[in-house]
Amino acid sequence: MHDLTKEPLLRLLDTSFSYGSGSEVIHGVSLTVHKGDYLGLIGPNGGGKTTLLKIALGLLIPTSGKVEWFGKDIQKFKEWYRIGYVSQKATEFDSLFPATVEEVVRMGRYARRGFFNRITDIDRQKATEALQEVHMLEYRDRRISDLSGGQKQRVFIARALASEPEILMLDEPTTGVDQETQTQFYELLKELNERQNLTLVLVSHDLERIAKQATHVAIIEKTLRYYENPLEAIEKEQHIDHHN
Amino acid sequence: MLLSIFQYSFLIRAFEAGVVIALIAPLIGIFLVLRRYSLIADTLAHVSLAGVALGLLLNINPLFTAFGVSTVASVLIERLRLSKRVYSDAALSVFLSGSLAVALTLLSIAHGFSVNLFNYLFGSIVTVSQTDLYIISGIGCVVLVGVYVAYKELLYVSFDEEAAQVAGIPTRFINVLLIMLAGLTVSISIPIVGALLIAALIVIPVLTALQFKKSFKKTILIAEALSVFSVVAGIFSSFYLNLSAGGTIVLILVAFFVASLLKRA
Repeated sequence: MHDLTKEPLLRLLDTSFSYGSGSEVIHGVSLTVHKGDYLGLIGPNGGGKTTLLKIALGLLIPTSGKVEWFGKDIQKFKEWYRIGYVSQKATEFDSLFPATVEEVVRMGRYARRGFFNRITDIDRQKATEALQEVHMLEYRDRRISDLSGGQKQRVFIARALASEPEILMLDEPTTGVDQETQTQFYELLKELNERQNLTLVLVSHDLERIAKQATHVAIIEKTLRYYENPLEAIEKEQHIDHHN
Repeated sequence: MLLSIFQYSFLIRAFEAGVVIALIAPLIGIFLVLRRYSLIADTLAHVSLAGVALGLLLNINPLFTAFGVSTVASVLIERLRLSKRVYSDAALSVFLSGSLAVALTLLSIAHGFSVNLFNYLFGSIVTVSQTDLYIISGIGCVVLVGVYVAYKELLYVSFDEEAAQVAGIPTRFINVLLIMLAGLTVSISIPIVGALLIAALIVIPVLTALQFKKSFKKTILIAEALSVFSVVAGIFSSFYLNLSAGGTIVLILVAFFVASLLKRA
């Protein structure tokens, strides 16, 4: 069971969503993410997992229900630097974009600085530390487009880490990443969760792999089924085609 | 011979105005190009023409009406684009030809076609008055300050709009700001390069600089250098060889671009 003294970071209350006047993509989803959790958000293609992630991040507004961050309604929540976001973009990236690894990671500090403010030495230092954490420091002066898919993914994680977030929300890329890269990606996440007690929400289609390292699993297939014990999810959700 | 060029005060004004425009055009251009907004530069140039026509009709300095009209249009373009009621390239096409139609109609109301229009279409360095130079420098400063203040937001939004939004950056405001700054840049570029060639000054130096595959900051610096060189060289050659300044400037830019492609091939 959840330790009730743990602070809830993210709470979704009975949220539903539909695009335009179409049928519902997700229905009546309630979900709480506590500090230190490593939640695998698993579902088949079209099951609504990316939609749910976007609702949580405020990129989509639910047709009904509530979203709360750190106990505050999402509409009033302003401290977005407390949340790190890693999109699928890492692998489908514009190869002409002129930016070095370091320039990309420093963007992660922008959320902590308002208009008019330039980045400071502290920001540069934090960006360096974030690169160290994902073992990419030696690539700092390389162009982001010259890196492999897995390396880009690490840089995008470093960008999210640079804002010193309390929770990392990741949308796992489904294409263009090989098995070995994938394994390294999971190892890095485990490291961040266990060593730094960083809260993680990982959107993925691969139930079997995630269940082996996440602390909790939620299956989203329009409605949500939550499992305190990830291994129980494997047993009960065998119909989920995890190879799609 | 070299000295003689500086005996003409109109030429000194042309150089001064030219350098201001050469500095700000790629600064706006890099964000437009990376955001796939290149065509907006051309559209805003045509919109500015409608503003110029309005100025000529009302007897107001056309530079003022040009950036008034292009600022209003830039907000409307972004709204139409966001409404998703039409494709965004089609929206641009409506504004492009629509504002040209407005320009033509206003001018025919005024006094038929005049030599003036030709100057605004293709630029004419002899027409830059002292007042124009003040306006161009003033607006140029506004654009510079605008980019300086919103630099990191513009960069983040160009790189990854969704992540920027999650980070709490007001992406809609930044998008409108970028298009408004582009509108200002376009309107003050009209006297030198002309409405039909402005897009080249905004887009081509950036495309050339991108071929060097450098960091973001270095890419901007390369684009700036190319742009300033081309404008200065273009004005020089237009004076000595009696060629159109706008035409020569753009041809030099294109030459650099082709060379950068060949270098990599």
